[in-house]
Amino acid sequence: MIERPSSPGPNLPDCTKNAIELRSITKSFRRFQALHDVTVDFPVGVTGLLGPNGAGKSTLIKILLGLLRSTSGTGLVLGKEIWKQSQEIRQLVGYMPEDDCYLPSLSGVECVQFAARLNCLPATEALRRSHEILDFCGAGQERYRTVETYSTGMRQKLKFAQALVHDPKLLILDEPTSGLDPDERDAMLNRIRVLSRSHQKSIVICTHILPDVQQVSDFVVILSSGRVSVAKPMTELSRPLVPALQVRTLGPPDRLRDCLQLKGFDVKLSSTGLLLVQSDSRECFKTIWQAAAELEMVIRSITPARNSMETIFLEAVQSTTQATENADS
Amino acid sequence: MPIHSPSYRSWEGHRVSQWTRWSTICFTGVERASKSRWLRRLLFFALLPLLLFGTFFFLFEQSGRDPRIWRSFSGFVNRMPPGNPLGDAIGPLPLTVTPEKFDEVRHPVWSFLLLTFLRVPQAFLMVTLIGIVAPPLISQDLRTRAYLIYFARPISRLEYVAGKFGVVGFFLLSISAMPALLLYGVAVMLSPSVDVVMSTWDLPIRILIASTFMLIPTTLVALAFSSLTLESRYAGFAWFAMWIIGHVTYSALIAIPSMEAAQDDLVYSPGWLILTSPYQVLGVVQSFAFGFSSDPSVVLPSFLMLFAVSIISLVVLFRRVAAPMRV
Repeated sequence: MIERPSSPGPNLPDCTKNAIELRSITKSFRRFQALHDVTVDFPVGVTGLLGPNGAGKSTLIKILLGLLRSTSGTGLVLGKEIWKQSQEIRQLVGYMPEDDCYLPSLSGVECVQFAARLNCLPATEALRRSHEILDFCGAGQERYRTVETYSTGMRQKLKFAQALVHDPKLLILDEPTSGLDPDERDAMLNRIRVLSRSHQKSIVICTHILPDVQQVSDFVVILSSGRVSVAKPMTELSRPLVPALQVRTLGPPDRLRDCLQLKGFDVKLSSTGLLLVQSDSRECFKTIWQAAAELEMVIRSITPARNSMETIFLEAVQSTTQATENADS
Repeated sequence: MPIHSPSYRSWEGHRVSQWTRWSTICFTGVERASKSRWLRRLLFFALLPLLLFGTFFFLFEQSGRDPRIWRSFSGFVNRMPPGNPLGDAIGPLPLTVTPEKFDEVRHPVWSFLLLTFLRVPQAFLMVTLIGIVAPPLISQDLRTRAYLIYFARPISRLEYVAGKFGVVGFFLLSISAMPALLLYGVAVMLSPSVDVVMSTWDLPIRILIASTFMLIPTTLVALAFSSLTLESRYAGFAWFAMWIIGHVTYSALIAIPSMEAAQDDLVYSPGWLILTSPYQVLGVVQSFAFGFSSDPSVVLPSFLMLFAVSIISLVVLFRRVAAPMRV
């Protein structure tokens, strides 16, 4: 059991800041070890849980919800002990599964009402709340259709509404944007942001769509081969090793690149047509504007460069795979 | 604040007791099952035997006042072959009836009529009804992964199984115990005095006990079949096959010995062979509930059989409903 002192010491988790705290969680399925000594904290806010297929994300979620018992280790979810207090945890958590799951022959609003009633909302209140949440999720009159007739996007909204209807403190969203068109994806990410920023919900997003994580997450946990590869704030991860500026121009940036290189800057041209200037000094800013003026070019934006989520993810997975192979050999 | 705000709002209402969760599963299941047109037709059809048995009760009560009806009734009972529960219970009847004799035979006759109502038309309807209602209950949840809707919430396996059990139980009781109790009420109203309740007060309890004997094992077996497959039609097939194969096997096994016994004017006792047929096993325990069958060599194995089947089904159910979570 994790001890929870009134004021956390330097080596102990601070429960007021962490939605989830895991200590040495291991899970084995006979010979296969799905999770190896997972020790990680998920702070309050939006946390992206990433990992390649088979990394142990789903197993970890099941352990958090108390659906699976860990082979060893302990943990707290919203201050409740996993497995021992799994009923209380599931009362406080909203889970949106990746898989399509629905009760055939019920309409959308009935499905959400059913989910609310399973969380002990009174029948009438459950219906009222279901409509409220479906409004929030952007579901229109299609809520009265039976769920078998729903499109993938509508089913995503329905699952999101079911996870949210009982006003949980923690949301675990498994692939919340898969199958959504760009507009719906933006709307879903916006909802996630609203819930986190305006309603202080802790949210764990488990996804393969890395730009989504970069867009909304405050913290990132990357699992690889059942181990925690990365557990860092997004701001820290996004910061490039060498400070740099991203310059977007109207038209081809080749002339600007050549000009800046002549002025002694290290400039790279990305495949997407962005210039990456390795410096973020005021002098550099000034020089870019001057060069653009000399060349009569239009600059659309100059922003501090960020590490892409793809780079972070690939590096993390590769380093863990290498470490595992070294340990095995 | 706008009248209709589509933005998110927190909820801080009062939650109902956690003990209502299984009933939510049950009522939603009943609501979903009721959308089947075939089920609605069957429920309507299940009420028709009430008219027939109501007529029997009417005729029996009239026989106390009309000697012609009594003579027909006594002739019918006296011609019953040995081994018939009613014939054995009230023995040879006189051709003329006295009020004392009529009061004496009322209880066994009512019991016999209620038992027959449960054993003959309602038992067949029960098999059909469970065959329609139970197979999709769990298999569909497994196929559509709806188990995640339940188990990602504070629902235990016991609550889930209780909810599903309640769905079958609701429909089963609505075609067995409820019409049988209604029939009892009709019989009381047809009798010359409400005083008959004093001599037949135990019958409603016996109806409930007999219905429970039928409800528990049959529902658990049907749910266990449903939990074993993702295709509800396979579960339905297994359910009907169990009854048909059991009955055919039993009939084949007892055909020759019972004919030989009949030739020698003996009552044939099938003994353990009864265990091959679920219908016969249920019949024995229901007869026991109505006070007709008390031979421990037949009743005890039947009870043990139903108990074992119920426990095995329960174990299968509990293991299977949690199975998708273990991977």
